[in-house]
Amino acid sequence: MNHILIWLIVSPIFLAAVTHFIKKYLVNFGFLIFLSVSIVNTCLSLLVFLESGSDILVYRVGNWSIYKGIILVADKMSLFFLLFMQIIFFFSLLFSKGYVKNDHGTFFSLFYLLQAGLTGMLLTGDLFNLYVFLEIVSIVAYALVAYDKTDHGLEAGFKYLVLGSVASLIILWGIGIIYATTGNLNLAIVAGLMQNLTPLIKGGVFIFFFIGFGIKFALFPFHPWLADAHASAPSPISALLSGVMIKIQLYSLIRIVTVLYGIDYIHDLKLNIVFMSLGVGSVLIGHLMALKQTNLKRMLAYSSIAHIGYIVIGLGSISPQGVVGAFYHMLNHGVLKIGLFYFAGTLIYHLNLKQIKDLKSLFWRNPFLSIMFCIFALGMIGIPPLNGFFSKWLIIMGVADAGYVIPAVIIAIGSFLSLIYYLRVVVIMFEPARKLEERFRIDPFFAIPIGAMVVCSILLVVFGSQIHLILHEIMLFIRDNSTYIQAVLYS
Amino acid sequence: MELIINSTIIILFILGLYGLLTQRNIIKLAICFNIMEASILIFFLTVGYKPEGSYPIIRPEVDSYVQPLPQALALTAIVIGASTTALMLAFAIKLYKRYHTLDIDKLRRLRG
Repeated sequence: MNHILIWLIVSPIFLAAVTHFIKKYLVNFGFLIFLSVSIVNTCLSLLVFLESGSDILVYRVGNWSIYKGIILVADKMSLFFLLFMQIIFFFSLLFSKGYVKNDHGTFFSLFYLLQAGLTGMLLTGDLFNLYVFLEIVSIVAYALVAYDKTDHGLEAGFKYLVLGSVASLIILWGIGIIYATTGNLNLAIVAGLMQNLTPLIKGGVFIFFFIGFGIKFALFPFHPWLADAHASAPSPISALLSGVMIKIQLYSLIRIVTVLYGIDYIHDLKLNIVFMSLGVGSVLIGHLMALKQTNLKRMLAYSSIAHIGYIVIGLGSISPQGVVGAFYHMLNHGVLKIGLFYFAGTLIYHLNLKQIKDLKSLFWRNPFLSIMFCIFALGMIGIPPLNGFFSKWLIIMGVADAGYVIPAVIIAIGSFLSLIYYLRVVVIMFEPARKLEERFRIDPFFAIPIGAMVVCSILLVVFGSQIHLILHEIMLFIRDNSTYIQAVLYS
Repeated sequence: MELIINSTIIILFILGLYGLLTQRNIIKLAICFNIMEASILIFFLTVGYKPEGSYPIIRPEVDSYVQPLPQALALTAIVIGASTTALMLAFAIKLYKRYHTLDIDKLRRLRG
């Protein structure tokens, strides 16, 4: 049972290594291998998620004791995100198959390294391993952003590379200080030794992690790379980066902060005010910049910055509702933003449309695609029956309950701003056509993932109460770090 | 002694960061990144260092060793740093072929 955890990391690495040798067969037979491995991995994640119940799985690699060896830890939170990630990667695989025209070998090699790195970031229980997996993810992401080798791609990739590598070094320095002062790298063991540190070192390391991961998930003062990188990457990759990668980097920060420092540390030093103000900054800057964009993917990328802001505000409120809402919003925003990037990618692939004004009367040319866009856009704005509404509502209620009125108002204003820019696109799209333009058919490799994202967003509402229960459990779990520490120490 | 090492680490890091912020040449940016990385590698090596310690292979006549783990971590960090540098230089080649310049100010197309 526990061996599944290591399989989930090793199998994508193996595929990444092998793709180069089977690239001749990738078009048909090789792709079937990818598809079957992806399905098997998704099923295995589901199996572990359902079987583990409320206990925490600890896998000691090579059966060394936790004081010497490397461990993988799978608790409710990481397994939940893992399942979400595997499902998204399955549909991304289909979409990439349709989207990538040449050199399948390199693309899928990088794709699988990204998957392995993200799985590792979710499952690792060790600080240095977290850094290694983070670097795998980051280096692959820099390369994938520039994969098309367009002017914009290369420039955005280089910008992202410089900022991201500085962030990695800052994180590495923080990890080094932790090792120097506690003599260990295992999260649970370090957590027990944290109270021996002087407040200066404790605070300094916190700042290092916060700035490092803040650059990685594009929090307000560190956000400029995201819009360039996510807008210039190939569309399946934009979807993965916006929908999954930045959220898993945020997850890593949550994991480090909650296990090493605990909620009390944040609460005592009023650090949550800092989170919320940066979140408010992200929401405002993201939405205001999105308003003035003319390029569709760039607008979506700026909207991602704003939604990271919502999530950080929700987490910063530390009220039960706000935190549950933030986790729920991670899933909702992930699904919806992936759908929107798939939409943009389909248009780029079939019609080479990049600007918003080019979408004129799209509805009369392809009703299916336009209606899908409307569902995603309404979900992003937060119109009641769709999933985006419920998570935003939870965040607003949580924030307001905790007594912070301004962030709650800012979230409402942000929704209004997003209404303006999404509605602008919808209006252009439904403009009556002067002459009857020919319809175009979309490839099933594009139609299936887009349809699946709509189904996912509906399922997120239909099973809302069950998901809410799971997220509530996760919230209680990260509130009290002693559960995690004891489960690892007495494994 | 400790003061000298610590200040070296901090000065190197700040020097590298200053270079990254002010330099306009892509190759120089890669060098500045490596300077920053070197400062952190020195930090890792000082963590496990003992003045009287021997190299970490257990022998009966020695009882004080330097810690091997930080060195292993530094090796991993070197590998990761090398791959990041390689990627930066690959970007430099691609950008130079396209624009015939290494000045990042001259290839700014993405704004706003």
